Amino acid sequence: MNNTILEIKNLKTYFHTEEGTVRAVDDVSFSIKDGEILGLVGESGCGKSVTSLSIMGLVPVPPGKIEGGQILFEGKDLLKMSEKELQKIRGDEITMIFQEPMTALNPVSRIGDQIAEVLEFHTDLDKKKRWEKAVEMIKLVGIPEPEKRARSYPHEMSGGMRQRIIIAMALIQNPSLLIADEPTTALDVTIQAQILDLIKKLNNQFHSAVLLITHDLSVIAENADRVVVMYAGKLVESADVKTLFNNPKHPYTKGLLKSIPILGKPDKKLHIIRGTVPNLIDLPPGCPFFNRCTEAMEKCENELPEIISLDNDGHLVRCHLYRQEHTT
Amino acid sequence: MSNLVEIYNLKKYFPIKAGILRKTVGYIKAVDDISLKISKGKTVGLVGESGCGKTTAGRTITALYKPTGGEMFFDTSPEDIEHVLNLKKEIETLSGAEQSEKRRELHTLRKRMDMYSLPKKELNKRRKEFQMVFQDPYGSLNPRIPVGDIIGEGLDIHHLYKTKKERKEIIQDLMAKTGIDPSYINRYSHEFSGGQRQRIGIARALSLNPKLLVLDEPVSALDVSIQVQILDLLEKLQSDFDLTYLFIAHDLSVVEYFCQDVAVMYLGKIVEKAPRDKLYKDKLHPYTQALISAVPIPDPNTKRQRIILEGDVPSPVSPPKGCYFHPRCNQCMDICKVEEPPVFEPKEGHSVQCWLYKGSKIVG
Amino acid sequence: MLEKTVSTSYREGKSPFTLSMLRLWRNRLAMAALLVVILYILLALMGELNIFHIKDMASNNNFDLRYMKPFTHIEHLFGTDNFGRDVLSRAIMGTKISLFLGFVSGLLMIPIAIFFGSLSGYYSGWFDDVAMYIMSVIVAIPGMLIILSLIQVAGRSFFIIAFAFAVTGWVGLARVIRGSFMQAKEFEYVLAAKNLGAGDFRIIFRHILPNVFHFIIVRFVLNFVGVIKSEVFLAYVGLSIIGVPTWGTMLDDSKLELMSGNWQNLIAATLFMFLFLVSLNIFGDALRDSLDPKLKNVV
Repeated sequence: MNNTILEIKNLKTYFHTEEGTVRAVDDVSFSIKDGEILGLVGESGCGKSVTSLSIMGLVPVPPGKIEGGQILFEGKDLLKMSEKELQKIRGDEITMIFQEPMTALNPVSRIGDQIAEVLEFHTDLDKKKRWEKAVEMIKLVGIPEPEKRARSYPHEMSGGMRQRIIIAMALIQNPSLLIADEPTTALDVTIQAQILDLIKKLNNQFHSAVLLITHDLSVIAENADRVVVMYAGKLVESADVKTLFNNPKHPYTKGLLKSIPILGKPDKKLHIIRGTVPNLIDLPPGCPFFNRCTEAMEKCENELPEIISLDNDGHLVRCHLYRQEHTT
Repeated sequence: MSNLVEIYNLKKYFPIKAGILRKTVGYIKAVDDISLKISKGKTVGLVGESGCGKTTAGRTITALYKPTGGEMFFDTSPEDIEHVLNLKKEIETLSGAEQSEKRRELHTLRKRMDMYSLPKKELNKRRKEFQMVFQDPYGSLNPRIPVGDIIGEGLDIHHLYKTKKERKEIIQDLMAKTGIDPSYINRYSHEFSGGQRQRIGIARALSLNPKLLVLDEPVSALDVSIQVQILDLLEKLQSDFDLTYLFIAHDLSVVEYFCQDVAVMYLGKIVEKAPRDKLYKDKLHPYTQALISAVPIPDPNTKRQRIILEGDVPSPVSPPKGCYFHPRCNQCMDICKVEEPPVFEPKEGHSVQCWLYKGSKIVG
Repeated sequence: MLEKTVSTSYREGKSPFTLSMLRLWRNRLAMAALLVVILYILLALMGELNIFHIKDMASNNNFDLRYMKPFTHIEHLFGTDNFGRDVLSRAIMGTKISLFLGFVSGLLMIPIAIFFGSLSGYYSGWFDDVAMYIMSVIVAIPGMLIILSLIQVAGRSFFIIAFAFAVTGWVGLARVIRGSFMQAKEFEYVLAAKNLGAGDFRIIFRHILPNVFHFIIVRFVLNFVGVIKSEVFLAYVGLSIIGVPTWGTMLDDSKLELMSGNWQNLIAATLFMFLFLVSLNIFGDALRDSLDPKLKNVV
């Protein structure tokens, strides 16, 4: 249960635009263990989606380019694989679900056929068997009357149901890693709760590791085992979920946690993080959070802090405040 | 405390047309008979899931859409409102010549007071008093006009300045008050970030010195850290400009934080309405209960009991019989399937449209 | 509590239109095509002003020099025709007619298209029904048939022909404008203007029309292509403008001359037309790409 399934080492994904180089992901390292749910959280432009695209080998080239690092999946470097080898892993061992359930399905093809199509590419089951398996998956993701639903078209379904279908497609090959990029952002709260419960249930049942990417800290708190917080392309803090929420260290994480309204605590005074995320093209040399940080020191302006390990359980933070304690 | 806005039986149906002759074959009942009062200086939250009609309600309340039925009184004295409402009731009891005479009287009264019956010119003049902040920071600003002119458009329309210099001063003052650098007056919207664009939208709405601001999901498209900045700005402006807010949102935590009164919408109807603390503490309607229980909480230490709703929101074209919520309700009774519940008021100031509270006072 | 944008220095903003033009400027092929189009305009002007006696050479008969072969004499580069007129000069004079026809028909067509398109898109209802009916009728009849009958009835003058092209040409543009207006009506910034108390006139002309303007410009440019092609057809059936050289009449003349091995008219008119149409098409496509608001963030 504690084998590392995916390890990202010093990943650098840059986009070369006419205005300059956007360092979308800059020296990010983390790993996912077998069967765990790792939450990747951050605001728009922090590089969380580009990280997932890098893992899937779906970064648009050009303007994007992976400039360095390794993505080790079960010990093999995905970045060194050919497109053909990658295709085998994609959709079979690593699968992905996207934010927009409306556009991820083909509108003119039946649901059952679309799910079965995944099997056509990756297995040698015959047509009937594939259809049976598709129906079974529809049932598994909690859609009533699966036989009837398999014969219907995407437009006959609601957003929540479509997202279930996409999850069914992603899980049909029992992947070792499921990447869920903002899987519930386009959905209503009641549907969001259903979908997240489903992902959790399937995570227990299949022992697939899940990389849950979201901007919503509440979703992370309720579903993830460990969390990676990103800001302006860099990893700023990482810890197991309880440590991160009970004892956040980085000023950004602390500020963020204090800035979200919590249901049932309407009188909580919300903390305001002033300013905006810096432009990724000409990032200042120091800490990217420097201009918004309430605890900024002199050296933060010009010196990018190292990642510091705070304990033996993998609580990492990229901040000068903790430099005296330990250094890696 | 007096009410700034009183809305009675507001309806907005969109016709569905089909065939070569474009015959109307049905209606999307986006807003179906809602009544709402907003007291001066308060913030009323209108929450619901997507497709519940909250955006349409907001746009109808600001008279961007012509309603199918209903009245809206804006800053009208309670006596006048009562007069109109009584007259309306009276007409139903009368007949013949007397009725048509009263009808005429009502018509002239409404033309003067009911926002939806005002002549178009008159309405456009009064639009100054109620403004709207839109949801999409990208789609709500015309990309081809510099932001100074976007903010100043209301001033141009209503001729609220004498000289060009005065116009520029007003605009830059608004920019400063909403936290945009006034020297950016000649820049275009694509040069601003989402949060700043939303500030520009707020400045535009404020330019006419409105009494009511309808905020249509003003923060839902923004990042968490920017959301707080905008909420903070709105709070500040509320006291500085003496504003009343109608805050339309889907995020129940934000609504709880920001609003004093809350109305919950489901499929075009307001199913529950109460002051914030009452609504969040004793949620009466099964839908409200499920909705609030589904909200995730940023605390890994608490595990909450969740009410999982079965199925999806039905189509507003063919809503179910009886109570619209009954197919998904976990406390559904026989009567719910056949008869639409009236609005009950089981507790003072806390109304709910649900048969569970049969026997309490009926208010609508 | 002021927020700073990316760059801190004060500067004027760049409008989306400026950005589009910058994008177009960077497109070398489009700029080359534009250069060619400008050269054509200059040529037409030179012809009109009779510089280098172009106008005279195009119309004066000189029976001593009939049927001079192309590329044999430097003073008559493309040779001479049946009446000894300089073919190159005639082709240049034809440019003028083509440009004028395209320009005038475009000018006539655009207001009609804007009127019907914007009003029927903005106010659905009876006006839309009537406008759509008219458009459907015009589209249902082959365009050439309308042009031919108009010319037969009203005569083969320059303005009648331009008008005939406008009558058949506006429908496509009007439909595009109508569609854009129907969409734009629900844009939040249009609602915002309405909310501020803006009247319909202001909403249409300040907020919606500028956002469909790229359709209009591109249609105007590409209208030349259609008009030039149609003029050739008209000349071929003997219905083009009388008395002046056009590319169409040159091609029409060459159909008899080819029998006797004289192809100077054919080669001159074809070359002139080909280069002009290719350049216009390239420029029109590039213009559309650079003005398209959907591409606005790709710099």
